[in-house]
Amino acid sequence: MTHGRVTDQGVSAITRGDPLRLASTEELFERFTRDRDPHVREELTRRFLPLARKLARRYNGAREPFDDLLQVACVGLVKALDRYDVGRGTAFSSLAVPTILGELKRYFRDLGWAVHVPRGAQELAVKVEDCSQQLASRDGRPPSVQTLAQYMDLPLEDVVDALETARAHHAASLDAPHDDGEGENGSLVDTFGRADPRLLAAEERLTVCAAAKLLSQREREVLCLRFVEDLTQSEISARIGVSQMQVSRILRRSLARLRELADD
Amino acid sequence: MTKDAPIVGLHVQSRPQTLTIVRGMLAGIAEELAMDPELLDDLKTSVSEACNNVVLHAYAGEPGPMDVRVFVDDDGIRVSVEDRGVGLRGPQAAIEDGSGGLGVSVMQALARDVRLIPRTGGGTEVEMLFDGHRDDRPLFRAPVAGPLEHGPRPDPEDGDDADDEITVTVSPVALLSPVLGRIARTVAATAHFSLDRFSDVYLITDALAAHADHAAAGDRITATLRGSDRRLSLALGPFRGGTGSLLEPDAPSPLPMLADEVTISRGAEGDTVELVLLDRR
Repeated sequence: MTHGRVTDQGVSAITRGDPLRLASTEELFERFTRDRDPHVREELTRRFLPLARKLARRYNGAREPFDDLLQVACVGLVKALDRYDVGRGTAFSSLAVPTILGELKRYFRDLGWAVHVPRGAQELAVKVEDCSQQLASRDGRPPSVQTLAQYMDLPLEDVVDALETARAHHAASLDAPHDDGEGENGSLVDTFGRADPRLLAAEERLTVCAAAKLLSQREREVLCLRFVEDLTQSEISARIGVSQMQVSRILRRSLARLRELADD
Repeated sequence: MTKDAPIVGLHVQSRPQTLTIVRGMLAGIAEELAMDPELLDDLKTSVSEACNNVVLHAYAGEPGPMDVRVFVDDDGIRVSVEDRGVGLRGPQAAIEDGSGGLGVSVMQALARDVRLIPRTGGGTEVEMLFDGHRDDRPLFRAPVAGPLEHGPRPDPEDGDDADDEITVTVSPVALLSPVLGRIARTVAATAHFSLDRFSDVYLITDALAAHADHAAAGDRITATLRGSDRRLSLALGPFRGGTGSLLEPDAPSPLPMLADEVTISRGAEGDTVELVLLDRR
């Protein structure tokens, strides 16, 4: 184990040939309950470090360095050790888990942001979008979700979650302020390319659904390109100059609107 | 609302990677019920622990059938994780003396109540109850639905346990879009789909859910999914007759354009739609 300050002390205990290393955990708890010996506490902390790490990992998000979280979890672990009474007969972990989780939650509250940091999720969603564009231009084709996860060094699950956030029905209003990354803020609509005259022909072919007339021109264009011209989302993105994710959002939204109109 | 009818039932093979599917299902439920994010996180953590126990211990490290069911009661959310494995010796005692392991401590820390129930014929059910209120504030809204009295739900034990097949049943049908959507996209991501094809899955599950809204044969829909390299297959139903309209090349129904294969088969309970989605880059 190489993590953190606490372990290092454990390692130095080994080199001193500390007999505590050989004692059973029960014995250590009994000794600690009796004499509150800080060396015993240290050894117990070392033994329960995997528990603290496991719980800290639960909050391992994009913003907080994991070592900081582990440190907070260790504070919780030490508090639990100090409060634990071996005479009660309950397992240590049933006191330690809520104490450590409580410490972690309090840490986030003290930092002044909610435990669940919707902003963190949004930031990750933006990062995922950026990275997917980087990979697309590097490889000349859209990345797989797994490639994206490897590139960002994130679990696949986190990337799928971020994509959900990015693509949620209500996630991005087209008129929402948009940072184009070059210091110029405009609305998303401004980032759209100009109308392509070739589209007009395709659009005329979109007579399959009268309701389509009620969509915006941009929405009709994207629908045409996908369903009449049969282009992929990336090809559409290159053609009209918006990101693939925006194409995805436009498609999703306009199909939802068509369904609503068709139901009326 | 019938207490014995889950709003979502998921049947999977217990593998480490299925935990992502389980958490995706929970996130989908949370989306539909506008669930408090902290409650969702507690659910994800505890249910992951319960599933992890099944993955590690129920079948001696091998995959085996695992069922996760989510119930909404008046006083909260109940989740049951069930296996048919080797079982625990004296499971309730394992809770009381703390020998149930770290997983049980985590569940106990986060849930209001945890019970380990031995299953007749082998296996264990872990049942966790989570409070639906905090400081008198509801943590989710109850699913909007008619009475959940419905016919016998498909018993997973009757099905052949094809490897890597995922079966999910939702009731009410409104849960289909978020729950099936999350699961299908997780499977697609795992199946090496490109972002293009992955994004098409949104359009497909949206369309299927919209169809289910008015064409479900009852108040539940069952979907079966399977993913392999760049391939996702999906079967769902039962739908009332006339589901063929899904296949018309009409703009609100993009299925024929998006899927590589679409078939509709008639069954005793209603129509089943089967789709195959390939990613041929």
